[in-house]
Amino acid sequence: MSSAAGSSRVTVVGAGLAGCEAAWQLASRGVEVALVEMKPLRRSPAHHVDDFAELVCSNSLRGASLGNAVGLLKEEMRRLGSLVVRAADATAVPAGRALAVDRRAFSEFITQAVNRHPRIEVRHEVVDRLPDAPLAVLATGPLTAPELADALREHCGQEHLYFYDAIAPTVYADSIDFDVAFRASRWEDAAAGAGDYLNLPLDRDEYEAFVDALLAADTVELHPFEAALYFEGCLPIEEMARRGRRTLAFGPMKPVGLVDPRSGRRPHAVVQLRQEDKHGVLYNLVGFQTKLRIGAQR
Amino acid sequence: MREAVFARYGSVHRNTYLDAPRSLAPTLELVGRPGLFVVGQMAGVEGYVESAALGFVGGIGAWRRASGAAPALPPAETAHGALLAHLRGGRSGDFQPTNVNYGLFPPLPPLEPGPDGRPAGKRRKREKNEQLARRALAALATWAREIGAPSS
Repeated sequence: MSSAAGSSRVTVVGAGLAGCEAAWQLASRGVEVALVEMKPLRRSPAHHVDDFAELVCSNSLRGASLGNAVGLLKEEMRRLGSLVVRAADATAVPAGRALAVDRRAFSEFITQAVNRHPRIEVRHEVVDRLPDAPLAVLATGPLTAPELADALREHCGQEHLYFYDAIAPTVYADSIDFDVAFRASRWEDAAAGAGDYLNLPLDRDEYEAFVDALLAADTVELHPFEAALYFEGCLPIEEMARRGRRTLAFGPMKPVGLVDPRSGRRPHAVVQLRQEDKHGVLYNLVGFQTKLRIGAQR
Repeated sequence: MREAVFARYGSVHRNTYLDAPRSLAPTLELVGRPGLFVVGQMAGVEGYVESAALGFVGGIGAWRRASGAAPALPPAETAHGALLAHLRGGRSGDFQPTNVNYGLFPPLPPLEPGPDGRPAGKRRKREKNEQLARRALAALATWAREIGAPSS
């Protein structure tokens, strides 16, 4: 298929994983690309080297098998000619059932490929507002520079740009014991339908045992740039527990407004689950964001 | 919930990202700014692979625009398609990024009753995931051809 791109040029902002992939796919199809990257002029607190596609956290790209959705995603990318997956395959290190890479070799592979492509022009600049170019790709990542983040927030509205995620655990619906769980919404969730939440009641002993377990559990260490970032709307559950044994029972686990049909009484505490997907396969634990290590979460 | 099986564990991160259901078109273009694609974690996915996958989709999108062609989005049955569906269908106002997982995929057709007419049981999770993967890769081939992917 001809590219017919004429003199159209695309500006890609950010030479991380997403930006390098976008730039590569465009250039491979005959489109001229201006890839704008602020390193080395400025680095986010998480970045330490000047290469593109720096892996700022672990060196693992997670599961390799098709039994795992991320393994499938990588296989799709492999078949599509993804630069990132080709780089990962070329720089893989033994990691059991995961695809892990030599971090430096991985970034060097991508940096060289991008630098050498005749249709990719790299520019080192800080982009501080939405690009004027008629065609552009914003790939500036979780630590987008503040000026650009502000420009986005101005465009989208204050409420539609987030700075923290609060990821609640999700469980498969078919692993929930429906003899114990009951459907109900709290009084103040009047706008919600009666069956919008599944509630798992806990009696006093179960609640106290849960708090004990939370207080004793291992947490993931914060990156230095994340330290002291908690704000009141988004406390991890173990931090709530640390502030007081009853904090959770007055917070995300409050039983107020709920009656356990098995006993006819209000439970001591509940874990509320909310349907996550439209097919009802997944339920998430409302308000249960946490920094507990995964083993501890089990 | 003693025996509950986790699809995703909890976490909290410093993360800049948009309320995709509200602010992004299905093509990943910013609402109100056609031609401006938002990809990677900014669009509301979590993880290295997921970020690169959205970079791929955005790159293709920009290429289609540059060529004057209609968008060519990944089929819903693919993992790429499942990620995009999360960006469209997540809860606006309380939107959280996600890793790709099999819970995001459209369901498989229900199993046929057995030859004796008794209703079929449910698929085991591993079988189900294998079938989802096979279905995804079959759908992928069509899309790969449409976008001129090298292996097509």
